[in-house]
Amino acid sequence: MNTGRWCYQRLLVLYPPSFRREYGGDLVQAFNDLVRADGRRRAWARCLVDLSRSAPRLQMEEVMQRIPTPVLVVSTGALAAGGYFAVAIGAPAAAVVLLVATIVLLTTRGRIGRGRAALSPEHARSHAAFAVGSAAVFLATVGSWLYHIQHYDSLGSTTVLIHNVLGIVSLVTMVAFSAKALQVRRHRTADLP
Amino acid sequence: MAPFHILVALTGGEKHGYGLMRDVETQSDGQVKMGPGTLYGTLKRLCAQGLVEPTAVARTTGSDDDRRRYYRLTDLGAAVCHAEASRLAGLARTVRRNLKARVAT
Repeated sequence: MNTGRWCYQRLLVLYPPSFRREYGGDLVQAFNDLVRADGRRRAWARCLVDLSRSAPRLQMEEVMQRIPTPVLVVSTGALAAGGYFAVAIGAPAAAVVLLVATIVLLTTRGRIGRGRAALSPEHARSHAAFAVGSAAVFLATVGSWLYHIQHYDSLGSTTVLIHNVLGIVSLVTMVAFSAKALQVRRHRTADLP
Repeated sequence: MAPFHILVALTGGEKHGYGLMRDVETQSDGQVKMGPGTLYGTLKRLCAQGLVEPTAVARTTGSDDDRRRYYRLTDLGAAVCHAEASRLAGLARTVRRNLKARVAT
């Protein structure tokens, strides 16, 4: 067997198993076609760059698809609530960890959904659920902020930073997911031929 | 943009993976160069969304003996592609009109 082909086949282990099973043969065939047309060096450069971009995305997509949307929404809310509780009892380290996890969950989901909203009517419900989830996190941030203003004379810089960051991220994701859900609805009702 | 580029390439008829990669490169004047992972990752999503489907039988091309899987647009895929193209055409019309007005003033 060709060494380049053998190496590329080994690298496919970076993709999720289900994707490898379904498209492994096609991927290797496309690699061979590229080597034939562009030469070994250019084909490898193109495939390695592609591998570094597509493998993490497909892995994350696989994980996200395995977890049902309601579970993700509830987890995001629970993480955010845990973060606010940690702020309230004065545990800044735990608060930072929990709130950073919330932000990662919100933004990762957004990144994966990007680019397919216009073409995926069946994702409308998922987008709407995440818009609601983000709105809940945003309202919780505002509520927590008002609580802190009313009950404490001065606010620590960590508290201010956490509320600001989470407030902005949840607001942005809420707007983004709402826009995606509306975009999908527009496509559904668009004047299709 | 990768999904739309693939849909556009498939408006020309059934194609296999490598053919799609080359067509996308040509129709974007070399601006979009997809690798195998991006191509098949996008095809997987498009198939799941019902916009594209593999043809029933894999077949060989004239140049080699490898059996290849071909893909084609579904009716929904063609409709979505048409809607997106109309949206982009409308956008281009707006840009032209605005720039014309800008030059006139």
